[in-house]
Amino acid sequence: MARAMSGSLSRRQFLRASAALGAFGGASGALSAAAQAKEKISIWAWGEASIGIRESVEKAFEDKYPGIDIELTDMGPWDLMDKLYASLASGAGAPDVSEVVRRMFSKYGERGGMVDLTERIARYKNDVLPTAWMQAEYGGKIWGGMPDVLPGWVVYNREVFERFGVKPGQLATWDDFIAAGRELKKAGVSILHASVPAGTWGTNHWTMFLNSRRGNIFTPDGKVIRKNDAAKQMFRWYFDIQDIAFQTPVNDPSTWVALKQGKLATYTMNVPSAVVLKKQAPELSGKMGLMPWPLWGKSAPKDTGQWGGTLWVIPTQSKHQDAAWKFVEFLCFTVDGAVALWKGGMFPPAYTPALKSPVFNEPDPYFGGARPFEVIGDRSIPNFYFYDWQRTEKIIGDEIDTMLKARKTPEKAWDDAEARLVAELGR
Amino acid sequence: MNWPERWDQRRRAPYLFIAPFFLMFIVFWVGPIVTSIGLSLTDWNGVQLPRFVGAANYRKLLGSAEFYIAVQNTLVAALVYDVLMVVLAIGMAVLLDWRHLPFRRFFRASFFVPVTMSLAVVALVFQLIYAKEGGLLNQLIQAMGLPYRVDWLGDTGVALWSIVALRVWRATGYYAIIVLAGLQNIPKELYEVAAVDGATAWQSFRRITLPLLRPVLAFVVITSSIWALQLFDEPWILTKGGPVNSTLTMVIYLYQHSFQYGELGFGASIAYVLTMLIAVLSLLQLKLFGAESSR
Repeated sequence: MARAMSGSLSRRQFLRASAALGAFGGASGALSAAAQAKEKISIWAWGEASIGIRESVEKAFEDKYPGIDIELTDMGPWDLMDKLYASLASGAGAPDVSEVVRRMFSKYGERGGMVDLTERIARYKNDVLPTAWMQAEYGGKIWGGMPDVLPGWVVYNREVFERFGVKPGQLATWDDFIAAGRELKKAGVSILHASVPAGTWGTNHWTMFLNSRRGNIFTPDGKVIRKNDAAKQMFRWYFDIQDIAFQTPVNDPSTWVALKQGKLATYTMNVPSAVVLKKQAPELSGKMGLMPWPLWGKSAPKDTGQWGGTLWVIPTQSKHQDAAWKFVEFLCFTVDGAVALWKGGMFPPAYTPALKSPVFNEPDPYFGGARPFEVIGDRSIPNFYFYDWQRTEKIIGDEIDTMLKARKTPEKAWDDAEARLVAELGR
Repeated sequence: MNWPERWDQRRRAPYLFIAPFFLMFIVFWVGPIVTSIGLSLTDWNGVQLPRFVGAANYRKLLGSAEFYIAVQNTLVAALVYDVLMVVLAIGMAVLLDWRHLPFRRFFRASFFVPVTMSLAVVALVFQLIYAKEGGLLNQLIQAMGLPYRVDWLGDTGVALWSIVALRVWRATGYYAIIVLAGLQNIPKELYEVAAVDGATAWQSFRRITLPLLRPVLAFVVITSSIWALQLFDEPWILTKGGPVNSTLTMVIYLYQHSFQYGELGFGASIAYVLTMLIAVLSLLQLKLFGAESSR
């Protein structure tokens, strides 16, 4: 007793303690081995896709692949593109999977640094909308999964339309739309916004109109289209609507203020921009409505334009390329992945089997119970070819801004843009 | 005496203490600077192997109209910003040093706030101030009964000045605190003697305050000039260098080519020209202030 009280151990006590420690060590070792056996993949994403991954994709993916853990890093799209480029340049630090801006992709496609996914993705070709497919292709190879298409639609303030007796169904064409706009303007209300100054962002807004009219800037193989009348006409159209437009830079706070105050009647944007609108103007919930992109003539094809789109790539630096592919496949080519992205960021899927899910046509209370896919369902997105887009959008944006300051006619501005594209891009 | 004996512990110690700094300096400063000299002579795109192109990047730079626009915008913005900011910082510091100023501590703290604010928040606030439609400035102009509606960030003749005004607002408080520290080091007896001799407040300011502030002002002007020549954040967030290159600065030009267009070799050559420009201007400023101090 005295020996025990003094703190020394008997041989039996020592053996018991050793056995207990051994058992604990073994159990914790087994646990840590199990944890180590899980493969972890790092993912870089931004905004709405990040929300979608965090809120629903992650759980659904890990349920399907319990051996793989997701480590998501959320950052802004341009920050992400810079960091990805820097990590490719330095040869270290790239994630296992990264989201990239699809229209900027040719920069990566032509330089490499990404895993060639052609063989893995080829079997999904018939299930993916062509407009998304072709933007993931470079040099005959597919470099990433393409989960979304981002068609344009018109979000409108129902109270403003009712006040002026405007019925969305009557605005079938852009001519109808502009005629209504001239009436609204007399009361100081703008029927649409124009991205002014254009700069690079505004170019993409203008491009959405061009795309919906089946225009292009490049040929499929990357040459600048010479004597591009469609683009020239679109410059003229964009110039002519300015007197009824609310001129504001893209995503500028004054846009939300004008929508709330009823000084701006609509928002002509892509579908996921509705998420931004809901965040910026929650008080408009139930007061907004949805209508399809107007047509370019009574018998014109039922097309709309597209702005945006993402691509999910696997850098060659990744040490977990198989697990990374499982994630890309899940996100881009499964119904669960498509549903999760829709719930998170209202990304309409490029993977057509996903559209059978009822989730895509649930009524949206923000838009007075309108069903998004009833609005965009009958619209097609013509193919649009992006090459050297960061230079292209700057050149066109400069010329749009020069035109809008009335320093050039729209026709001269487009001619100059075309000449600069040819000279500066060498295409 | 052999080498280890010469480098006894006492002699080695100071070098060991300063070694971490030099090690970091060599790895993170000297290394990249030397490497980028080599890169500026290549067509490196960041992923594929660089190809030696000699001075082609520098020739391309000198032949680029946008480069000269960027240099001009940067120099003009830096000059206007520096002059405005230094004058305002001195005025603010003198005011903060005035012992009869009520709420002096509050003002000292509040003038420092702009530089501590996140640039994203600042940009959002200034977007609302500068907005063409419904912006605060245009509402003020209209409230005064003036028929103008200025496109503060969208007009090629105005956008750069809007950016400069934002920069001045952000930086003045910070530099005012530095000038204030300089002011408080000036012996009060000098002012008392000058007052006894019948000097006016303006004479005291010109003959005592400004000359004794010169070392502090030299620091303020040189550091703020370097900062100004690296102008990037504000114009990039608010205008992306537009409209039509009216807020294009050298660093935006560098960023566009390096990261957006993937021309890292060309970007390195822009960085070298910018570094040279900053070095030359800093030396000129040092010489100017040094010469004036020695008079």
